[in-house]
Amino acid sequence: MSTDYYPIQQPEDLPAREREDAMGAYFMMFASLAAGLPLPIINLIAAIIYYHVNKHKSRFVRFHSLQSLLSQLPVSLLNAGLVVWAISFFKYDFNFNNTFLSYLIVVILANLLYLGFSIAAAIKARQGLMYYFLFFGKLSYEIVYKVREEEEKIYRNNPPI
Amino acid sequence: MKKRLWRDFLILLVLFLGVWIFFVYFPIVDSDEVKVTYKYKENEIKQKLIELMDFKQADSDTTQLLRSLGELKHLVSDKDVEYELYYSDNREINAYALPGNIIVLNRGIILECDTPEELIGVIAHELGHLKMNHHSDQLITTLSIELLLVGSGSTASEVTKILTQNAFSREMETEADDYAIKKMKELGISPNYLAKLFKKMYKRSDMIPEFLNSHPGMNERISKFSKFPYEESKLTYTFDWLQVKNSL
Ligand SMILES: [Zn+2]
Repeated sequence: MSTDYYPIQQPEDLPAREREDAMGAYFMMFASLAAGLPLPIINLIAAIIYYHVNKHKSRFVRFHSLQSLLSQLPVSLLNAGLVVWAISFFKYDFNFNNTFLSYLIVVILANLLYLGFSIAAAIKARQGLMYYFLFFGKLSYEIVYKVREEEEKIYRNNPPI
Repeated sequence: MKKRLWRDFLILLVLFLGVWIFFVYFPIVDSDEVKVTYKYKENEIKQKLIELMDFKQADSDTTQLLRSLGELKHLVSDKDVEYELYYSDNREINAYALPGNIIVLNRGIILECDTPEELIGVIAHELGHLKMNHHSDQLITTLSIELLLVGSGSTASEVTKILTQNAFSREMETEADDYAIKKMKELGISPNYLAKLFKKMYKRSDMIPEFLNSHPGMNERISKFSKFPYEESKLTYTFDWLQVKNSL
């Protein structure tokens, strides 16, 4: 069974408007990540709304929005874990141990990585280029560009096998 | 494509767990150091607490009461614990053991004691809490935040609230009681003296002080101390207890 993918748009095919929308997806996620720090569910909702608003634009915009949304999920979860852990200090016993400290380091690193890669991706998107994150890039490509049977395949003429 | 997705996912997962585990085994911040910082701040916290709550230190020569309390403090000593005894002008029948090796006696509990021996029992119980390090790091943290960060804004009633909310566990109370029994026997005082005090406190069911509330069931506690036969203590003091109480 072979799978088909929609062609990837090239920079010259992309109007400035679409490039900006794609870039905006990353900046939008930063803002919501910062705003949602105390309660990560807020930025999750904001991210999903942004994705749905842009879903019907070109695949290029959709790809970048989705990559930004998906890569933000684990970062939000990590941040939420940190908030819950920190609150438990005040409610229960103050146990400032190494497991917590190293978790803190991991969370900071994850946020920095997310920030760095998102900025890189935003710049590429502005130039009309694709930019694939580890894992999330492939996953987003798979979701956005894969031709789904029910959508279009039935209308295609295939050579005899 | 699916395979490569899984591979990438695993890479991320291993990376995340790897970094976490790496720092658990090779810490960049020593968590003991953090505790040391708290210990270092303890003195500052202690001074602010005493100032704010207007605790008067026993042993100072200013009043008959403080002199007498100083005398009792010297009787109840433990080579492992260097503690300070304070008096608080508070009508509540209560006594506290506070971080920083502080024991505080309220006016209320002093008035409730018919003999100095009963008060010695109370001090010994609180000393037990100090000796066995019953204070949670949480209480120290909460107090530190209140006194160091909130600072000038905090009031005596807020601090009192923190102190009363952070009661000891039942097990800790039992340990402190056992320590008090041991200490009283050492001094030749029958633990029965404390049973007397508890009975008086029990009758005032309208006031349930820290000294009683989270404690092992009151009846259980009274019977524990009542097991020891009452014998009049042979201790002598340079003060007259009734006179001291009348001065309050
Ligand atoms: Zn106690």
